[in-house]
Amino acid sequence: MGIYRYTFNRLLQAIPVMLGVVTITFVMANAIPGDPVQIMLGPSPSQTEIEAIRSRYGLNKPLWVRYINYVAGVLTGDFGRSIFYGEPVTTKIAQRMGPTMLLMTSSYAFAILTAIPLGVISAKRRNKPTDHASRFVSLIGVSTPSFWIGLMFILVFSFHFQVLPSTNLIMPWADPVEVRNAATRVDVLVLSARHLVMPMISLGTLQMAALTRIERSSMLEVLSEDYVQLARAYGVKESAILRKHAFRNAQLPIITILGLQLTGLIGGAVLIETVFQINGMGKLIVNSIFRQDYPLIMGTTIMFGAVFVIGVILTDLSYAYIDPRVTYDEVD
Amino acid sequence: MATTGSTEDDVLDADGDVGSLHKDDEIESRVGWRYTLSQIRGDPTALGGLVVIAFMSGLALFATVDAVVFDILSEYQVFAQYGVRKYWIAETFWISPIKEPLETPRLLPPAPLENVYGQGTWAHPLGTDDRGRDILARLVYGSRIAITVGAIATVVGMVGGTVVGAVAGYYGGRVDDLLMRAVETLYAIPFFILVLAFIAVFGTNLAFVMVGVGIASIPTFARLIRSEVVSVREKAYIEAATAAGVRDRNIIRRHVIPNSFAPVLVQGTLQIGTAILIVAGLSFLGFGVQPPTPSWGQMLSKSRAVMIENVWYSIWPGLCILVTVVAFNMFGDGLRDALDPRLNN
Repeated sequence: MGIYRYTFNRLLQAIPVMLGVVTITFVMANAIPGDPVQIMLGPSPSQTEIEAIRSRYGLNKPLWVRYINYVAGVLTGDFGRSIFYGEPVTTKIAQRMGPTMLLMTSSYAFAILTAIPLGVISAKRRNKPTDHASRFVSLIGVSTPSFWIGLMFILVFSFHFQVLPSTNLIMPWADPVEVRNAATRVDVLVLSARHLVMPMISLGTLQMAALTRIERSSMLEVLSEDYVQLARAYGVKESAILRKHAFRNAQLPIITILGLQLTGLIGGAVLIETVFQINGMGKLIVNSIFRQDYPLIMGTTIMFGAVFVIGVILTDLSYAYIDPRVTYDEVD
Repeated sequence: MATTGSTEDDVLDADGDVGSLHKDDEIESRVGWRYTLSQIRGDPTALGGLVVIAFMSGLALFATVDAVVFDILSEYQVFAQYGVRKYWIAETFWISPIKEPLETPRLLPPAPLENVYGQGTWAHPLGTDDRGRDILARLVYGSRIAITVGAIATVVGMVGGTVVGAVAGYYGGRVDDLLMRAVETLYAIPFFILVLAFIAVFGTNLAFVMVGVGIASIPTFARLIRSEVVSVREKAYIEAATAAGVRDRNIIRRHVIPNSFAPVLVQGTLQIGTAILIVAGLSFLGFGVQPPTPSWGQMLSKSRAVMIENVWYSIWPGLCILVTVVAFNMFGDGLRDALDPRLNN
């Protein structure tokens, strides 16, 4: 099976999953105790007002009709209108997607780029002080609430040393004209990086720690393989063994984990966006819960589900791409 | 039938050996438990984790008795006549953790940033919050929420996941397909988002938060136990039980689940730590326990407003969460090393 066929099949498999996500979200949203119209209109609305809202949001139709309509809407990119903003849910999500994606990708990059060297060094110097230090760091990393790391960063770097800004994330693609204290594109990029560094590390620490552990055990496993022993017996230098024989093979479990770890990254993003007041999807879902803005809650939940499912598919694809032993038939 | 996949050969193979195999397995599992305990006793990290867990649970138990049990008992005349009331122990021997004491000096330990709350004293070793409430007391009473919510949420997930996973793995076929597809769909919604959606629907009540976190962790447990059950169900003693006419329900309960439970136990221990982190995050966002009941996440959320004046207020609750979760992770890792020597690197 070729890569295109495999990709196509993988996407096909994602359809029932996404349909399930939409269904769960719809069922949950319709299990709300109390009348959503009442919530929308406040304490004492008139009968005509109620009827108007009911027909506007299609609430006067039976449940299964609303379900079909909602699924059909989602398929055509219509998630309904936000009650609070009065705008289409998709518009709102499109506005907020950028910061969240920027935060998540940079955190992931940070996590991967620190975890791989840490894990490799840890495995190479097994049971030496370096290994203990690295294991200690990863134990603390998986146990620390990301939002608290964020708060501590703000305390130290924003309040005490006053070197890094704690709010108002600037997008790297923002127009220099609209950004204060920035004349050129370079200025914007520098400002953006300064804003991003604290949220990025706060969010990435947990992933970094988890990946370090997996990288370490994966490297240890590969280093005990026969072909590594053989290479040692032939007198191949240890550094060459690490680089040429062990490293590549040890990365496979990491790739699988990367997709699954996305779920933690998404959850963390909600908290980190709140701590650093980043106007992303996470803050959007939290605010819509407080405002009981159900169309928006449903829309953001489905979008987060989609981000996760796509992430898992991408890791599966890269898995098959990186390991030549894996044919597209085997990966399922 | 459980052994749908077995051929005649398997049955013949098993027939001669059923009794002795079963016995061996039983001995192995008994030795296994002792072995586990001795392993943990010899593992300082796991032991350290266990000590911290015991200490935190002790604090939580004290707080539960003082804040909840006494509150319930005070409704009855029998107890009330002796002066039983909410925060009885704390008010008699300590300070009021919830009420705002008037004329209380607002105190703090020395902080690196200038603060307006003064110096630390023995009356308030960790200082007070912005409303003059003792931080140490609130930390102690906050442990109740962290430990109970973490444990209950995990038990909900463990029980739900074990039932779903064991049934799916044992019966296989269409039941398996149906249950595991449902589980995978649930798994496709990121954990924290699923809990948030659950809260959005049912409200921010603490009970719903616990159930929500529990339900969101069902997929993890279900997948884990299913993979174990698939191999356990092929064992000879299951076949023997089936042949002896034991009902499926009892086979699953008495034989399948106990023999596939080790990884679930390990995951459960680690999951308590995760649940504590999740619930702290939810409290930080304003979901879950509502003020004035103290919880660590909520204290961190409140500390943001007075961060510059009251530096330590934002440090202590975070440290409490960190220490507790580290303890569960240390113990969980030790348990895994003891139960599964294959992973022992």
